[in-house]
Amino acid sequence: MAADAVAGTTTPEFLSRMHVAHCVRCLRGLPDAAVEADCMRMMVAYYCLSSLDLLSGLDEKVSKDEKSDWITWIWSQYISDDQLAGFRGAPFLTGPSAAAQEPPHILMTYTALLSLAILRDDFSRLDRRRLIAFLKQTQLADGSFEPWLGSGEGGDVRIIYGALAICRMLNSWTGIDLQSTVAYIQACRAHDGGYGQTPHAEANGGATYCAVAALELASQPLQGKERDHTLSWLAHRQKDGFQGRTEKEQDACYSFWCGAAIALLGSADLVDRDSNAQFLMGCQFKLGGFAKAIGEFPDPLHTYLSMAALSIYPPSWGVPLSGIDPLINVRTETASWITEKLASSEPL
Amino acid sequence: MEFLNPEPPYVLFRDRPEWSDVTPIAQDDGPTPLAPILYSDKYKDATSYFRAIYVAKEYSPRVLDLTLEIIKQNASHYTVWQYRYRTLLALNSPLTQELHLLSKLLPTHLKSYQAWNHRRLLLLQLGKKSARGELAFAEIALAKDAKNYHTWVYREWLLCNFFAPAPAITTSPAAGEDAEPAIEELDEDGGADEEVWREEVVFTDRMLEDDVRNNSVWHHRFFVLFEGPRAKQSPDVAESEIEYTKHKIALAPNNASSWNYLRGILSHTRTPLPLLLPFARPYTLPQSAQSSLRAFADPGELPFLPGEKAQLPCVAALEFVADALAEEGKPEAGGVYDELVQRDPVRKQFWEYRKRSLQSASAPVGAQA
Repeated sequence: MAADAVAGTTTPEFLSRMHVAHCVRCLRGLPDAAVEADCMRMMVAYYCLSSLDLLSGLDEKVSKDEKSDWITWIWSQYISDDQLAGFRGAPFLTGPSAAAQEPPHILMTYTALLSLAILRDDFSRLDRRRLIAFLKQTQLADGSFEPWLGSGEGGDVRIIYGALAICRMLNSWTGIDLQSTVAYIQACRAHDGGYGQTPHAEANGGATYCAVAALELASQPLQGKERDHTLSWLAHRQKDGFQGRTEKEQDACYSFWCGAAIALLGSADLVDRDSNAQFLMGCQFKLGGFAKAIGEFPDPLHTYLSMAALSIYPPSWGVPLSGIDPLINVRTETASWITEKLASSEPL
Repeated sequence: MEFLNPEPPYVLFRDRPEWSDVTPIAQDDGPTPLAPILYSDKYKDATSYFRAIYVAKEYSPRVLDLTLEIIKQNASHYTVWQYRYRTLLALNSPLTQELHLLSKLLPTHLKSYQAWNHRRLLLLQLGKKSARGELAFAEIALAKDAKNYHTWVYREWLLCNFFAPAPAITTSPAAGEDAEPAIEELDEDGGADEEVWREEVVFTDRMLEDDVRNNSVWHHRFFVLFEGPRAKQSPDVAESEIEYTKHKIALAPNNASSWNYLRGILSHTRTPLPLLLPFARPYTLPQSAQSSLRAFADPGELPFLPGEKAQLPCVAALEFVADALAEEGKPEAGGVYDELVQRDPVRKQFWEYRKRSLQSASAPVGAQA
């Protein structure tokens, strides 16, 4: 325990080694209780890999061979036909004969690209044109995107964020109708200045991050009174950590969703970093990982988003985490790798 | 939710005689799986049979048993949900029965996006005649979790999809010719639909009686009265809603939801904040000042004064007053922001930023509790 001389209280120790071990453990195997993640293992893998990236634990604790195995697995989720390409979340329909195949999914594609960048893959196997064609096919008349082709599900701001983050990573905006997407996001704006997941839905922190980030990705960032109103909504979500909705309990993941949105609006100086970190450190599990609230068990999502929030808002006593790009949600150096290796310099 | 009768012991699909003609297909996750799940035997068994019927494109009654078992174990399995839906349609199954089954399942899967999506798909097939009962179902679900996001989204979808006028009827160039019959039709149906939206307001009254801090309810009320497809842009609605909210604030002053609702109405109707300064000011004073306020108050204003147990001064009221003064360009706003720094220290930097922005030409807007 390190003494906090100013406040006269003690600050909890950040358990780096425990967190690294916890994330490696999750990548090697999850308990049966995680069965609801069966169709989205790619996303779980990203949470763990990106945690390790922030902890600088990938070179230290994972062998080259194991990393190469992980890259192999991610590429084996790559689905490409003569028109479309993208990543599925896991081979949950696939038997040895591969007679059935899962369709690519926008959020699994977004997290697969980030994971490959974290592992420093060079993307030579990626067909960028077909990936853009996939996004184009999934776009709906209202400007949103369905998560996978033929899902019969409507879109929402989460899927929009994933689709636009892919466009940004590829540096290609020709495939989609951006104006209708922006109109959809605007329709999700609530009376209190936050954003809901779909039009008419209650404002919440996750949707507000997706909306703010998507508008930024679309190079149409919030401005003027709308920006001030949204910033105010976000700032009011801080208790010690952040709550996701007005008059609800705080939850570790909203330290990222609300905190990163505040940073994207250029006002990171408005967050009380030490109060936020005190709450998050209370969510730290003694065997590694972070839980959504004090006294609960950790999971990969809350583990990653807690560390991502601490990376944006390091407390006065410091945390051993690398810097993060809050827009595409990955370590700064990894974001540079994406710009270098994935972004196309010529129009697709 | 447990059923009334205890369920018989679970039998794996490989031990069920009616499945003996099917060869299960195990998952092939490759030699180096990432984040593999250590599945239970039960899940491995059921999903192996699902892979087999998926490849064989079998749509039969036993598929309904199989998909139900998988959903119970993993309600996020979107392919299984979709396959079940297609099977129901292929078999011409009675969808009200499926709706009933889903009503039993949903209380344990309130957070499953897929379960609610399945319900939406069923309703699209069943049509408007079933939609009224669904509003009642959503209320039962809210009794279990009054802030469940999916339930509220579903309720808003029901209202927009089944009880709202068809959008954009006036934008068509041919509207002039067809206007008369279209309006008649709308009126006949519209009367009953109007009633549904009126009942919706009463429903939010009930919900706020239970918990005046439930922001989902306040949000829903704003949707119904101001933003939704049957919202009326009348000054009367805004006026009576402002009165309603003042009562609710008097009941529980430190409630961000009600203050946000009030500001939402003011902003929506372009009403200046300073009009409500006489209401907000008493909430910025300590409890010790309240008895003399009550003694000198107009009888009509008494119900809007803070109660004797209210924790005062109220931060949301201070913010309201500061923003109202700022809107009027009055320099006293700065002092109120200083008080907010003291009373709401986690937002110290925010209040100081607001104070700094007083200097700039445009008045700060859109603040809230």
